[in-house]
This record gives sequence, C-alpha cells and structure tokens, in this order.
Amino acid sequence: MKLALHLARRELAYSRRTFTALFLAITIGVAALTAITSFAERIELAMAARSGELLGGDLRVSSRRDLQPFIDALPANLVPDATVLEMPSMASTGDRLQLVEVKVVGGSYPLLGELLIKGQGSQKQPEAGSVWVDASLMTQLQLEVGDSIELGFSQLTVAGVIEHEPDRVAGAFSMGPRVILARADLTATRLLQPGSRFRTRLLYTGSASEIAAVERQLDRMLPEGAQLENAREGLETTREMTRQASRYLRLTAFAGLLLAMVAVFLSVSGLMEQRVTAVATLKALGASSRLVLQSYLLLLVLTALIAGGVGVAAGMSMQNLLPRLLGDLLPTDLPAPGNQAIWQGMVVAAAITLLSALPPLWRLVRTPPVRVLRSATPPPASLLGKLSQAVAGIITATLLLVWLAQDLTLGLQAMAALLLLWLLFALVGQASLFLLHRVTGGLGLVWRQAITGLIRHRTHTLFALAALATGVLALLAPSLVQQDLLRQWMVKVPSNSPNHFLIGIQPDQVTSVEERLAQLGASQFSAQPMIRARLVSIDGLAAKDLVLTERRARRMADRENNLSWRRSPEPHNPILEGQWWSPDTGRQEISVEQEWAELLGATLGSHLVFEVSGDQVEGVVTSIRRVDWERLTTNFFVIFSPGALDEAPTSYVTAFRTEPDQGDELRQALVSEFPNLTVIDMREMLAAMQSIISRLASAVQFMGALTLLAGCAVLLAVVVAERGRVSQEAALLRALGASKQQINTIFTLRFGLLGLVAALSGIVAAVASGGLLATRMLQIAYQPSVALLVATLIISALLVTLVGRTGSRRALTASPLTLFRENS
Amino acid sequence: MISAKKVSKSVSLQGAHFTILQPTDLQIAAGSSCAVVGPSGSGKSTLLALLAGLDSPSSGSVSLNEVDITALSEEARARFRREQVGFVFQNFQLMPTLTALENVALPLELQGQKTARKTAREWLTKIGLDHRQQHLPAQLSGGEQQRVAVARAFVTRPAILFADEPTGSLDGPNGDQVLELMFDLNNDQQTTILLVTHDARVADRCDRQLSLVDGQLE
Repeated sequence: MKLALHLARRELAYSRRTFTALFLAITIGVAALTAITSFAERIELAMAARSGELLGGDLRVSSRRDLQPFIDALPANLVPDATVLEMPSMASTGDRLQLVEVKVVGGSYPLLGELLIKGQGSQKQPEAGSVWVDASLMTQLQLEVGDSIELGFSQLTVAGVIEHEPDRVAGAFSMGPRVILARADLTATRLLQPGSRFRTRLLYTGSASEIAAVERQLDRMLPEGAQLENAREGLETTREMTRQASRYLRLTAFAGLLLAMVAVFLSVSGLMEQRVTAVATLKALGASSRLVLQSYLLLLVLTALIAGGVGVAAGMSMQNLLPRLLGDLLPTDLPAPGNQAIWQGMVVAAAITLLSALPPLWRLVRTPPVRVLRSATPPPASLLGKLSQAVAGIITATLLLVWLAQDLTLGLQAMAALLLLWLLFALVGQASLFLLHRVTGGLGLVWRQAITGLIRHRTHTLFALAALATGVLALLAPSLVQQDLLRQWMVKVPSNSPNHFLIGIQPDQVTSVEERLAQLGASQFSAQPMIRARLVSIDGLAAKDLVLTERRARRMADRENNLSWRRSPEPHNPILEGQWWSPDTGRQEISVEQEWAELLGATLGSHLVFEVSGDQVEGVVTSIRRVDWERLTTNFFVIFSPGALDEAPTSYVTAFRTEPDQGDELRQALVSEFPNLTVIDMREMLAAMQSIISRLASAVQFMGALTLLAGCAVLLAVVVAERGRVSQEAALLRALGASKQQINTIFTLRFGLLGLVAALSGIVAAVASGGLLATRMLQIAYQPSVALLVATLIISALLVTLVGRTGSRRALTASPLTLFRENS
Repeated sequence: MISAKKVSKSVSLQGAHFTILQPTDLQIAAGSSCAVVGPSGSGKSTLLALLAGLDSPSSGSVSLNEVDITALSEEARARFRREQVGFVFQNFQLMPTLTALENVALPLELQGQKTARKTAREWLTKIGLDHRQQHLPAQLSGGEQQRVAVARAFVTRPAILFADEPTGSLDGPNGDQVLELMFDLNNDQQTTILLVTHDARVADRCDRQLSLVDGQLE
C-alpha cells in the first residue's frame, strides 16, 4: 500500500493538469447538483414543516364564492374555527391611493403559526375599526402607526405593521401590499358586492381524528366549486408548482453532472492512454495488477472526495444565493437545508468519478507487460467494444439520474432529452468540421493546421463541441424567453389604448361612474356587465366528465367563468361562425370565443348550462367569435343574449384610458366618490410581473451559467487529454521553423473556431427551444434579440479560446526540445 | 540459465494465421551472454518477450533457472521477474512520473526492501548520475536515461538480464558507455544476459550470437 500511495502521489504531481481538469469537472457537476437539491430540499422542508401553517389550519375549505350562506347552514360541530376572505381593493389617505390585497379575518385566526406585528409580538386580529398593514404600504402612502386610511366606505386606523403572516405563501404574486381587517368591520366597508373578486377560506384545527371526522362530513356537503385540502396532504398546488419549477432546474443540474462525467471519462481515458507503456514497464519489473489498480484507485477516490467536498461547499453557498435571486417569490423563512444534499453530493462525486474512470482504468490494469516492447502496439478498440462501452456508460448514467430524480420517468426523460440533444450537436459539429475543412483548404498553413487539429481527434472535438453547445443553450434559452415575456408585457399597453381597469361597479353606479369618468378626462370606457358563473355541462355532458387532454382546457372547465351579455357585437370581436342574435331574439343564445370553444369542444348548436349563484342558466351557441386579447380592454369568453342573465347578481367592469400624468388624480377622485371600486393601474401590474419574470429568469440563468462552466470543464479535459499530441505538433512546427506568432495564431484560430461552432449550435438550439416554449407553452410572440445572440456568440467564442489556450499554454511556451522529450 | 523447448508464437489477424516465431529450442548457460541478431521484423523482440515471460508462447515451454515460467500465471510470472529478472529497453521505459532515484529504487520497492532509496542512491553514484537523483526522465538526456535504466535493471542483482536493443536510441559514444556499464556489471554479478540487437558491434561483445531470420533461428 505504501508503494501504491507513493506511485499515486507521484502521478498526481506529474499529471497536475489532468487532475485539475478532473477536479474542476467534478466540483462543477457536484456544485450544480448540490445547489439545486438542497434548495429543493429547503422548499420541501418548508412545505412539510409549515404545510399546516401555510394552509392556515389542519383543514381548509376554499372557494371563490361567498361561503357565508354555506356557513350559516352548517351544524354547530362543522362551523369553522376561523375564516379568511381575500380581495383586491383600494386604500387611500389624503391624496394618495394604492391597490391593496385585503385580508378579512374572522373566528380564531390565525389557527396555526404566529401573526407577528412589529413591536407588538404575536397577535390574533386587529381591533374593531383598525387594520394592520405591510411595511410597503406604510411607505407608499407615507403612513405612520396611528394614521387613518380609507378602505371602501370605512375609515380605519393603522394599528400596526405586519412582520410575519403565517399563511402567506408567496407575497410577490399578490396584487398589492397586505391590509388585514377584522371580519366585524367588513360590512361597513361595503367591499363585498355582487360580482366582487375574492377568495374565501374556512379553516379548521383539531386532533387528527377530529379533523378526519370533519373532513368526511364536509366532503359530502361541499358547495360546487369549493376545494377541501388538509395539511397532511400538503398544499398540492404549491407543491406541484415547486415540482414543476425544480424539474427544469434539475434538468440543467443533470446536464452539468453528465458533462462532468464526460469530462472525467475524457481526462481519465487520456491519462490511461498515456500510461500504457509505463504500466507495462511496471509489470515487466514485476509489479502486480493489484498495485496498479490500488495506486490509481487511491488517486481517483481521493480526488473525487476532495473535489466532491469542494463542490458540496460551493453548492451550499450557491443555494443560499438562489432564494436571494428569487426574492419574495419564496417564503421568507426557509428552513436550513438538511444533510441529504451533502451526502448525496459526496456519493455522486465518487460515483461519477469511479463509473466514468473504471472502464479506462480497467483496460490499463489489464495491460500485458509485453506492451513495453516496441513491437507491441496497442490494438485499436473494435467498433463493438466502443459501442458496448457507450451503451454501458449510458445505462449507468441513466441509473444515476433515475436515482437522483427519485422518479423513473423524469430520469429517463432527462437522459433521452440530453442524449438526443448531444447527438444533434455532434451531427451539426461533424457537418461544420467538414465544411470548415473544405472552406479553409486553400487558406494557407495556419488555417489548415488550425482545422486539422480539430479534425484529427474528431471524437474529442465533438465531445467538447456538444458540451459547450449545451452550456450555451442552457444559458441562452431562458434569457431569450425572458426578453420576449418582458417585451410581451410591454407591448400589451400600446400608447393609445386603455391603461386602467375599473372593477366592482354596481348596477346602480354605472351611469354615474361613466359620467364621472368622462368629466375626469378618461376615454375609451364602456362598462360591461360581469356575472360569476361555473360551467355545468356542454350538450348534457357534465363539465367534470368532459374529455379534455389539455391542462388549460381542464382549468377553463373547472374555474369560475366571467359571463356577460350584449345587445350588439363588439366591433373588435369578429364573428367567425354563425350569426349574432337579432336584438329582439326570444331565445337564450350564446356567443363563445374561438379558443374556448375549441378547447372545451363546444360548436355551433351546443347547449351550454352555467350555474350562477345556485341557479342554472342555459343557452345555445349561435356564434363563435375571435377575440384580440392583445387589446387591453374588457373581453369575455362567453357572452349571452340580453335577458338570459337579468336575474343574476351582476357587477360592471370597464377599461379606460387616462393620460399618465392625470392617473393619480383621476383614481383619487373616483375612489373618494365610489369607495367600493377597485382601480387597477396596468403599468403597476406590468412592472410587478416584469419583476417576477426577471427574478425567475435570473435563477434559471444562474443554473445555465453553471452548465456552461461544466461545458468548459469538458473542453479543458479534452485539451489536457490531447496535450501530448498538441505538444508534439507544436514542437514539430517550431522545429520546422514556424514562428511563435504562427503557433499562437494556429491555436487561437483552432479554439476560436471550436467556440464559434459550439456557440452557433447552442444558439440555434436555444432559439428553437425558446421559440417552442414561447409559442406553444407561453403563447407569446417570439422575436429573439439579435444583439443578445451576437453577444453570446462573441463571448462564448472568447471564453472557449481562453480556456483552450490556457489548457495548452505549455505547448505554446515550452521549447521544442522540452516538448519532444516530454512526449518521447 | 535460460532454456526454451519448441517455443513458438502465432497470431490470428482478421482471420489470417501468422507465425511470428517458428518452434525454437534454445539453451543459454548461466553467467554467459548471448545476442540474438536479425533484421527488423525477424521476431527478435517476440523471442525476447517469450523468454522473459512478458508474453505466453503459442506452444512449447520456457524455463528460467529451472523454473518453467510458461506454467505460471501472469501474477506468478510477475513475482518471478521481480526476484530474478532485469530489463533494459530500447526506449529506456523509465517511469515518467518518478525521479531518477525513484526509478532505480522501484524494483527494490517492489521487492519490499526497506533500504531501497539508499541502495538506489549508491547505484546512481556508481553510474555517475548522483547529481541527477531528483530529475525526472524528461529532464535527462537519452544517454543518462539509459544509464538510469541499466542501474534499475541491475539494482536487484538479477540472475538474468534481458535487453532489447539497449543502444538502439543512442549515438555511438553514449551507446558505448551504456554497453561498457552493462558488461562490467555482468562481469561483477555473473548475470546471464540475453540481448536482441541488429547492431553487430553490440552482438560482438557477447559470448554467443544467434541469428534469427523470418522467425527461425539459423
């Protein structure tokens, strides 16, 4: 063992560059994985530990309807322990106005966790006539504790600033700062009107058996559209969202990890190839195969453990950065990560090193001693041998991914996607090399040498190219989509179209609100009736039984719909099929939006039934319209003919335009006169959305940058593995009289071209996948920024040139004699 | 003593059968030196590899100091070489990762000798390279590398030394210097030497010469 250790130590000192490449590859791969795993673990821990707290209780009934009638009809043992109602509204003071998210709490709220008020500690509910508000609202309205704010028709005292709200999942997704109000004060505000937008929650707490009993009974009598969730099962929606988000991040981490495996394989293969004669010599001198195996295993295991440790440490630091990048999209008090990510990182470091290194090491160990003689040239590996090695490698890597993902489908999908991607990159690379070879054939020695170097060891070049292109893809694709998302939200507010929404107008306020809007200089307004309803059936088939493959269609079928009615068609809603009803139609007719009809399978003549406040409203589809959603105005999926919805509780909504400098004044005037109205400034909403998109994108880009680093590690591994050949080439060229400058140009060109081809491949893939994501999933117009693409191309090519030249620095600086000797 | 009985080597390449070494009988007395000469591709190195136990014959047997090495496993042959055999190769074949001192000490360390370094240092002094102890092979000239290789071959005082074109990569003066060293040590230690060469000057230094043409001893 002592001799094995000595040989290992000497090998390490001699092959510093190889082990540096190996070390970097393992470190980057493990860091990416650890960052994601431990970040996901923290979110999962937060969900598990605080699922009750986040749910608001042990059991929750939630609905978008007023559940008061339901509560009133409940037997005493099922009356909720607490109630929460959330709705957007306007808060104002003096001449300042702010859209806020009102939370009306009743019963023994909060049931679980603590509602902390600055300077007052844990509190239950604000006293009658007072509210607690977010610190951001204090700034926006320039408030101090003790000041008053107007909310609806009430004047309320700000009694404290909210420090921690136990059941608030993600603050940035709300419409505005929080205002907490006691249930007893709600009526006076008159915020709850027919057609108001709100969410109600009934919360229960108790022992497991009590909760189970309540759940059983509530389940049987739950009103239409209400959801029952318990803390044991957790917040399914939130968990699903987290899972979806972490899926993409995990995929980039897996890509980084697989690239690290490739880099390890290339580094170790290169080293083992260089050591065949040395091992044959050792064996000729009487060394056993075990000694060879021991010394290299020792070296690899130690490298893996040290690099794994550094990778884990780096990953843990990075996972601290992710919540900062995401800001308040996450719960503020994430629990500390557990040890899972640490041991997983170490196991993965050892696994990727040994799995990738064992095949070449095993071949080295089996080197026959006769190889030491000059006549014994190593036999080339057979195609079958290479193929079986590749298959074994893919199977092993897939098993590793499946284990890491803890999900067979995800592991297989990730592996399949990455393999397909690399195959494509390799094909593109192959074609590019062929073209470059043809094009540069007549350009002289320097160009020819640069290209020959890439072609001579084609496999290595293609490995590096695919790895670098993956990095470029992972970094660029989210940036492209982010830009388009941001642009999309910008273009939706053309300079001359409506820039505000006014919601919650009661039927008796319509005329006066419109008059007031006109007086205040607003334009392009037209109050439209809006009725909350749920789809019951289409042609007799219940909504829940509709066969809907698209998730979006299922959401449309299950959610609350906003219905409206009209006498005449809107000019910007062209009829595609059927006819608009005559003004005096005696039938209940319906006009539906084209996509809604397609998704839910409604056609002309379909019989639709909706439920509005317990009553059923029905009609027949007589026209299908196209709606231009880009126009920022009030649009509806489903419009009834006049009369059908006369009995339904109705509120009115309108978009309007005001000059930006008159917005504050107009909103102020409207809300002081009609306190129940909610004015939404689209510019503020868009700014909030842009901030969310930017933060999500920066987290994703961060992981993409790690993948690019992993790609660079593969390049470094390739450069180091080829160092011998490259030195020989440089020495030969120098010996034949090539100047240092010529050699420099050859290498700069070689890596520059490799970088350009890799970056181009990655850019094309990013543009294509970004396009798919934008048009298919996000359904936004897609216009990749040329400036961003050019910048990526230049930066990637420079980075690759830098890494490549650094890796082969010695070949560029050492004397020809030294290089010949080193490689003899 | 080296003894070969009907030892032959054949290989199959892409379905075709090639005989590299015809069945050969050979006896080399202990303490003597023998050169195998012949043109390139005549099978000299194959014969050396079989006699030294670096490769297994297709038929026949080889005995070194009365031990039938063809009956031994690869690991047992490695043990035997460690104890009884030394090598000098054309391309020196020093371990590139080890210094001159460590290269010379390597066979002794493989034998488990505690004083390996001390003995190796004495040998480097003996061959005039004590000032090069800490140099890596790449930092030594060709002649120096081969002298280190000779020291490595003799440091365990092997019974038999196999040399494959020991001066093949050296110029005249350096080649002569290495030969002098080898044969001096041979005299000192009474080592049996078998070397293959196509250099008549080298072959002339040996007690006996065998000529190999197309895989057959003449």
